[in-house]
Amino acid sequence: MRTQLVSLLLTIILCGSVLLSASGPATAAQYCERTNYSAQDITNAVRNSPLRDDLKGTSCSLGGLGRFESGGNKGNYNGSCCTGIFQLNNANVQKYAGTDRAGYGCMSLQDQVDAWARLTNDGYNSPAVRQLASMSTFDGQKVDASFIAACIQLGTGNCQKMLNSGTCSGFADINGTTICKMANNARAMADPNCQDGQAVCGPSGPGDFPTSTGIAANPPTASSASIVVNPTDV
Amino acid sequence: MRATFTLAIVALFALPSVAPAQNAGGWQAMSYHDFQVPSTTDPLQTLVWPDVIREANAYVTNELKRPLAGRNALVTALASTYRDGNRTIIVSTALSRACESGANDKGAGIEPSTCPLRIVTIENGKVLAIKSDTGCYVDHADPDLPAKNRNDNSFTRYDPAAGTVSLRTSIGGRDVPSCARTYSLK
Repeated sequence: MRTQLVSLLLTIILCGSVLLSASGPATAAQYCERTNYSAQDITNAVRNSPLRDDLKGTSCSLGGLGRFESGGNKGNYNGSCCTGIFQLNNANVQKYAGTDRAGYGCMSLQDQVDAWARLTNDGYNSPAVRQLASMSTFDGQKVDASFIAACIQLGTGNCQKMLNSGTCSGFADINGTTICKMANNARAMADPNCQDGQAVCGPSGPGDFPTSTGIAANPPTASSASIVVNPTDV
Repeated sequence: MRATFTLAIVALFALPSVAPAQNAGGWQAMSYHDFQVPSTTDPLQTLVWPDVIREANAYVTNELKRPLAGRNALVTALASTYRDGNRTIIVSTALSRACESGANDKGAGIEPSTCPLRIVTIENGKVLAIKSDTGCYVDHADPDLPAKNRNDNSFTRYDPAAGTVSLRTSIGGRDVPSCARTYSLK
């Protein structure tokens, strides 16, 4: 009798735990080994990636972005959408790495960064990024490569929502992270000794941010310009 | 090629999720399809998304430098199929690099992807029309997803009288307003 009771109790506990694991909330998980890549390690991988050269010019802040997203742990899954050193979402993992979330978390740092670089390159041609890149400031924030990378990172559709609203608060994720805040965090978390190719981290002033069409192709209107140069003046 | 096409048309009638038009008042959950195993009889692979599969295969072999070993790249799609008299209507969204897929961030939650959507109308074994637009695609459920997201899906409704297909998407138990669309077949 006692044996039967113990068996029954064990069965109830076992079934309960199975049910809990099937219906309970997912939590952050680790795929393969835990890593602690530094901002400089991530920056080096960005420099070796297929990322467009103009964005590589500020690769120090992109190393900071990797630290901001994952703490340098390439196997980190946030428990809902996103995995890896740059926290790519499930759909982008499939599209740009050709694998699933668990496979991506186990890829090398360089392979993960290469997939992120291809996503970023594609995002660079989106209307939202083109609109952002044509501005010198947005809501009082300098538009530089960190800002543009953050726009792509948080999704160009979400970035367009921010642009349409005219303020940084026009889009925030469920933790309240805005694109402006992400860009600031990426700059702040870059390796302090890191040296960018053409400039130190965080380009300053209009014209330092990359644009595929060139600054001359995006002139201000004559009425808003402080200096107007006529063709005959050149 | 002709044999492949014929096989695909024959296979249409073997699709398990074909809904008759008279059930059109209700919403039909779109079924999930993984194209990694090549098929000459799956109409989704042969009629609806052959170009997308080719592009994904080229991306994996040329960009990622990985061999496919006779398989396709990881391309997935959601689809609904309706039968309306002699006509078969396939509604499908596919996850490809043409999709816009939301935030990549440690603090982000699950968002739908805005992806290519195709509505293929077939009558008497011939493709009458392929309508292209965009529609919402949601991540396929797996045990690592949060419990609230394990029933995420997109749903379609075919209205034969109006000649329209409606699409809606539920994420975390709530409909996503931006995913509610109605497409005219005319």
